[in-house]
Amino acid sequence: MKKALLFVLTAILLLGAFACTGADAAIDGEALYEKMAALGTFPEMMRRSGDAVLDYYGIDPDACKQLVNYASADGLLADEFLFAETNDETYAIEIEALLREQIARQAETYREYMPEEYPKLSDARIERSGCRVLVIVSDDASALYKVYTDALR
Amino acid sequence: MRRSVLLILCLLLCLSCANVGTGQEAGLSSPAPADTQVPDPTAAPSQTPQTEPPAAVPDGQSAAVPDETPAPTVAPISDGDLDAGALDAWFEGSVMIGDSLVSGLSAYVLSETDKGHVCLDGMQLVGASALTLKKAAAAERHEREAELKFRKHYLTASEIVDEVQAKRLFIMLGVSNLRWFGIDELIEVYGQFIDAVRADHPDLKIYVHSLMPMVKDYAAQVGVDYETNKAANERLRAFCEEHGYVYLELADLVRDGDGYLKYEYSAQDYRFHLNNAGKAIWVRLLRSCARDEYYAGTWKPEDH
Repeated sequence: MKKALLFVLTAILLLGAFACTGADAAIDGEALYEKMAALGTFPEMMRRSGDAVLDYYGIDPDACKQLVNYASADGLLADEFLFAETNDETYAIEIEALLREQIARQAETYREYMPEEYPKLSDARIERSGCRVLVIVSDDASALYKVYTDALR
Repeated sequence: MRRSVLLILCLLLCLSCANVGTGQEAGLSSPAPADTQVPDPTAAPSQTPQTEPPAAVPDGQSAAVPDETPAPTVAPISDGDLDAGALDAWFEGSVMIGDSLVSGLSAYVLSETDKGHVCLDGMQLVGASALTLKKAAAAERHEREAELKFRKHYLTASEIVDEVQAKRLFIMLGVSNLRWFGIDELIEVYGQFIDAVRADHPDLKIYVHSLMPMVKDYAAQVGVDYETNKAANERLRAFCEEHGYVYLELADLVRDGDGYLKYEYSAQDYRFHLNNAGKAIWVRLLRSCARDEYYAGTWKPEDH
C-alpha cells in the first residue's frame, strides 16, 4: 500500500516537472504571426494545416496546444514561421531537435541550389522556451524575433 | 476547444452522409475558385502530340487545342466543374514525387485548400529541392540517402508509396538534368528509377510529366534550349508509350511562341518554376486524368 502510494506520488511529481504550467505570458501563435507579418518582411505566405505540418515535419498537432506554421506561398523561398506550444516539455525538446536538423539540411541544399536564400536559413532563429518552440526564417529574423520577445513581456 | 471542433466535425459528417445519393456531391455545386485563374482550357493532354511550339495565345483568347476526349457515356463534366474539384476524389491513393516543382505545387494546393477550395484532395505531394533524376534513382537502389521528406523521415519514392498505400505515382523529375547529361542517359536513368519503384509495386500506375521548359534567358544561361527540351520530351513520351506509363504533356501548355516557359506563368525566379497561373494549368491537367478515367467508365465519384 505504502509502495503504491509512493509510486503514485512520484508519478505526480514527474508529471508536474515535465508538464507545461503556462507560467509565461500567454502567446497566441496566430496573433504572433500576424504581428510579424505586419512588418512586411515575409513574402506571400501560405498556412500549413495541422495535417500538412504532420506530413511535412512529422510534428503531431494532437500533441500540441498550439501549432501554427506559415511558409512561402511559392514553395521556393525559404521564409517560414512556426510556433508550437506542446503539452509537455519532452515533446518540445524533440521538436526543437527535429527542426534544427531539418533546417540545417535545407540550408545545405539551398547553399548551391538557391544561394540567395542560404543566408535566411543559416541565420534562422530557432528558439525553445519550456514547451514553446519558435522558428523564424526570414531576411530579418532578428526584427521578427523582437516581436516575440515584446509579446512575452 | 478541441472537443468543440470534434463535435462540429461529427455534425458536418452527419450532414454530408444525409446528402449522399441526392446528387448534392460537393464538387458539382461548388463555385470555381474565385481567385484562381485558369487562362486556357486544355485538351486531353497526354494524347496531343506536337512538333512545333504552340502559337502564343493572345490575351483574352483560348488556345485552339482540339479536344480528343471521346464523347462520354456518363454525364459530362465541364471545365468549370473540373476546376471546382468535382472529380478530385480520384486523387485519393495518389502520390506525386519530384523536385522543387512539386514543392511549389504542394504550396499552391495547401494555399487553395486553406482558402476553402477543393484542390487535389487526398493526393500526397512530396518534393525535394535540387532532387535530380540520378539522385532519385540511386536512392531507390539504396545507393545513397533518400531526399524526399515525408512525416519527419527522408524516404524513397517506393517507401512513400508504401506509407500511403498509393495506387498511382506521379513523377516530376529531370528538368535540370539536361544541363549535365544527354537525352539517352536521361531516358536510361528514368527507366532505372521507375523499375526500382515498380520492383516492389508492380501494379502501381505510373504518370510521367514532360520536362518543363525554361524561361528563355535562363535556358540560354544553362545551355538547355527549346530544341533540346522538345527532343527530350519526345523521347520521354515514346518511353512512356513503350512501357504503358501515362505521359503528361504539361510543357506544351506553358510554352511561349518560341517554345520557352511563358513569363506570365513563371515564378519570380524566372528559371523553370511556375507561378499560381501556371500551377492552375498544371492542376487542370492532373484533373483531366480523372476526367479521362471517368469518361472511360473505369472510375466513378460514387466509388468514394
